[in-house]
This record gives sequence, structure tokens and C-alpha cells, in this order.
Amino acid sequence: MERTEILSAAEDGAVSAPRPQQSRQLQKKKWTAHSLLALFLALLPMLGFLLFSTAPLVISIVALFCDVSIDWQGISFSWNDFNGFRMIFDGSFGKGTQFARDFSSVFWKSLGITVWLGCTQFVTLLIALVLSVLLATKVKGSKVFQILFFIPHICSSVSVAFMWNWMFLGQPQGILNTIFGTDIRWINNPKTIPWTIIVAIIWQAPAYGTVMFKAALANVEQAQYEAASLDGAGAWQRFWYVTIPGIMPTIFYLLIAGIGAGLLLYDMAALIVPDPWGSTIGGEDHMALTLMRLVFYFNDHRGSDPVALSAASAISWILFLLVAPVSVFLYSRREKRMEG
Amino acid sequence: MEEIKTVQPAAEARKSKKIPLSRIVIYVVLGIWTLFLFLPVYTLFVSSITPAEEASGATFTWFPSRPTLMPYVELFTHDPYLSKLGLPTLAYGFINTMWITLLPVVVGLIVSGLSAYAYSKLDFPGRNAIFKVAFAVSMIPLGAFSVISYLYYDLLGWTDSALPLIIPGMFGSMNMVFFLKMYYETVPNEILEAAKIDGKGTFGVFFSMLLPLAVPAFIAQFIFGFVGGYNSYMGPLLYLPQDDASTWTLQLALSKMQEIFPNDVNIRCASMLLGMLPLVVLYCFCQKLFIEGISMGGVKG
Repeated sequence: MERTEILSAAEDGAVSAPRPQQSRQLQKKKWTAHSLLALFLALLPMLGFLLFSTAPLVISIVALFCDVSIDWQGISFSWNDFNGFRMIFDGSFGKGTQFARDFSSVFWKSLGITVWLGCTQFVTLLIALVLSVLLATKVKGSKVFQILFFIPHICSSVSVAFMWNWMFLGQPQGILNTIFGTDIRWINNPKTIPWTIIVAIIWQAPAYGTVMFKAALANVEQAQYEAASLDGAGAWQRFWYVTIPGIMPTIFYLLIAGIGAGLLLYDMAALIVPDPWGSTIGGEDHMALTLMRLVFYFNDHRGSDPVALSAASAISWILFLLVAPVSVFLYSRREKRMEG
Repeated sequence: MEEIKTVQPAAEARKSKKIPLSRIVIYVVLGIWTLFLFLPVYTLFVSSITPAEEASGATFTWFPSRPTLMPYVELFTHDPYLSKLGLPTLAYGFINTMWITLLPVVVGLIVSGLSAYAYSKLDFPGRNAIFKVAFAVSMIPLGAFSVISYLYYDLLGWTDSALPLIIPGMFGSMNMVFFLKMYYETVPNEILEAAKIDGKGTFGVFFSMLLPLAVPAFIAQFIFGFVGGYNSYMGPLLYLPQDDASTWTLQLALSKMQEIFPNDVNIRCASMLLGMLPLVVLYCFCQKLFIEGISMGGVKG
């Protein structure tokens, strides 16, 4: 049996090619058992993608416009007159459903909070940048600091959320209340709720950025610093005109990817500020209700009214549209790398 | 106090005088950040060794006068599920996490490795075009649909089981393929050609030559996948049956500590620290691999 053809460097070079160019072209077009095997191997991840990523997508499109019910008899659909969209955009519609509540105001508030929490990425990156620049000065012990600073990245959101929940405990013997001598109920006060989540994100997120920036800083050419010094640039000027442009691609990548992930925040918000008893969702005054939590809420209550699934689909698609520009950017960046 | 310049080695003393970035300032900033990172961890630790009666003071107890390790013991012995499951919830959770994480990560890595091998070292008609399409399609950000996917798995009958957490990952991902393909391209084709002449088949060349040469790339991707899987919370919360503790992953079990030990905050604190411990220990031992894995992805990604 013929073995799968392995492209050799010799084949790519025109001079030492064992076969004339033309016959190689012909052979390239031919399907053999081995090129089929190669194609199969190549397409395996795509098969997974089709089965488990695009198929749910199709169902969610169906759920946008239909009431879907799944039971032991199978699945059934019926046209729903855009009820999913009405649920989140039309204030009076939600009151007529099993939920008996105006979800449009909840949705807009949730959108605002999601964007607000997503913007934490700016602070995160600034901290990561400062830390990595300081670590790059190679002061004594910077290695130890670097090792310590990465630890939050490997801590789970469950533990981090619990830890901050503990810090923010709203009793006099709560840690922050002890430190500041206050008696604030951090997790229950609508004014402080978003900050509890932001602080936890700021505790965890810079770890990743610091390592990435550190690698990017090491890649900035020393010669450029020397040239800038010769031109009479001070430390600040060198930072601004050499370092920043040198690590700009990394800054951009982290910012875009971080905001993209931040808009899909679920864990930290749901774990630090769980749903209180009763019908309030996402903490007091919905102040910790990210869009992902709202989707989760609707998915959890799919049994009470079929409109819940349609609303969950609608919000998922809105989130998708919010995040899509991020991916377009990441894609074009990677494509450039593939060609370059 | 002595002012020591700590700017880039290329800096000239004359220039750095303008902005004296003193070593002290650097240490103060790094110190503040270290304090911010580890003060919460310390409070967890202190709370976990403080006896309940001592923790009921008017303010937080920073240093317990009679520290005890009992909460760590009670975490396992007082577990209400102990008699039902035969193992404490945390131990069960750890075992579940291991197979629910390792199975998709390891199988997915090998599948992605083979796929990247096909894209970069094997030949088939339309190879580059297919790669471009596959890659473009995989960039569609489907994270927004992670919850609504529940509907699909419900249709398949996979909900209330670990299948949605395991099976999709076993197909690998184009992200891994992209990363591994980049790495393979540094491996000269002549080496593979030589292995082929030695009589190795398609898979033989991969497993005996390419895989060993690309071990650093595989390790980097493995760490990403393993840390992500170990820490994941939303997937298990969505798909694992909430009323059957024997199916919970470690993180899901940790998130239920409030229900398992409603009255013992010190046991809950101990459980969180124990939950963090495996990855932190792993990180301490292969700290270089973690950092290199991340920065490799950073420079490349």
C-alpha cells in the first residue's frame, strides 16, 4: 500500500523536485486512500464543531421564532409571533406571561451592567501593564513576584468568588468592615454590588495579562531602546515611543479578547451575588445581573412558560452580535499571521 | 535613603535622572499588589483554622489564639453525603473532575494534533483552502450560545449527565490546531521524510517523530485545557444533576458547600483552600511550564 505523501522540502523547491511540476499538479488533484485519510483527520475538529456548535445554533434560531417543547414524545415547534423579542423589548408583554413581570427594564439594566463589568478589562490591563513593566526592571526578587502574581489565574472562580464574598461579609466582623471600621452590607446594597464583582475581577484577571505583557516586553528590540537613548530620549519617552508601540499588538489583543470574554461573564457575578430569595434575580435591584445570567435564568425557567426559551435565545443572539466584532478582529489578526 | 536607578540597561544616567524610578517605588508597588493578592487568601486561611466560638467576636479575628486543624478533618468526616456516597463530596468531586477534564483534554489534544499534522505535513486536494474555511468558521464566537445549547443536548437526551462536558471536547478545536500547526512548521519535513523511509506509516510518523518533537506545544495546550476544565463551573452547573452529589465535579461540590455545611464557615473556608491546592501545587512544581505555555500562546496568538 502506498504511504500518504509527506510534503518534503525538496518537493517544494523547483530545482530538486523529483517529478516534473506538471505531474505533481496532476497528482495533487487525485484522491487516494491516503489523501482521504488525511482529509478525514484534518476535518475531525470541524466535525465536532458542526455537531456541537452549529447544531445548537440552528436549534436556537428555531427557538427564536417558535415555542419549543421537548418531552418524552419528542420535540415540537409552533410559531410564537416574536414572543421572545416582545418579552425583552415590550414592557407590557412580560406581565401577561407566567412570569408576570416587565422584563424590558430588566434587560436594559442587565445590558448596562454587562457592558460596565466588561469595561473592567481597561483597568485590568493597566494594572497588568504597570506590573509587567516593574517586573521587567529585574529588581531583586522580581522572579518571586512574577511567580506569585500568576497564582490568581489558576484559582477557580468558585474559590475566588467565595473568598471575596468572605471579604465583603456584611457584618461588623466582616473583613473589609473590620479594616475600614464600617458596617456596610456590601453584597446586599445595590450601590456596592457591582464593585464587589469588579474587585474580584481585578484580583484575578491581571495575572494573565502580566505574563503576556512580560513576554511581549522581552520581544521589544534592545537596539530600539539604544537608538532612542542616543537620540536623547528619557526613560518616559522611551517607554512611550518604543515600549508602547512595541507591545501594542499584545495590548490590543488582550483588550479585545478580554472585553469579549467579559461580556459573557457569568460565574463571578452569579457566585458573588447569588439570587436572593423571592423573585429578585441578579442581586438587589438586579445590580449583578449580567446578560449571561439572564439567559441562565430563562433557561432554568423554561418549564414555566415556553416564551422563556425564546427570550433566552433572543438574548443569546444579542450577546453574539455584541461579541462578533471582537472575533472579526481576532480573525483578521490571525489571518495576517498565517500569511506573514 | 539611597536612590538606585532601575531603568533599562541601555539607559544613560543623565537621562534617567529626569524620571528617577527608584527601586523603593517599585518595591512599594509590587508589595501593595502582593498584599492585595494574598490578604484575602490569608483571611481564608485564618478563618479555616479559627475555632467557631472564637470567630464570633465583634470584629474579624486576625490571629486565633487557639488555632485548630479540626475544620480540615471535619470537612471530610462530617460530610452529610459521606454515608450515602462512601466518600466525602470533595473526594468524589475530585475524582469526577479528573476524568471529566482529562478525557476530553487528552483525546482532544491528540485529535487536534493529528488534524494539524494533516494540515501542515500531509497532502490532500484543497488543503489550504479547507484550512482557511475551517479556521474562519471556528472563529465565530459561540460562547454566547453556551447556555442555550442546553436545548440541543436536551434533545439528544444528554442532559443530567457529563456527556455534554466530555464528548464535544474530544473532537479537539481549531484553536489547538492553529497553535500546533504553527509549531509543526518549525519541524523540518526532511526528518519526517526520513521516518517515512524507515518504514513508518502515516500514524507511525506522527506518533514516533512529530509528537515527541512538539511536546512543548502539547504541554502548553494541555495546561490551558486542564486548568480550564478543572476550574470550570458553568458547564457542570448546567448539565450535572443538581440532586445527585455523586456526579458533581469538584467546583460544583465547592459551590454547594453553603448547603453542605450551612453552619460552619471555617469548614467552608478550609474547603476552598483545599480546592485551590492541587493546581497551586502543580504550578509550584512546573511553574516554568505554566508561564512558558501562557507566553508562548501570547507571542503566537
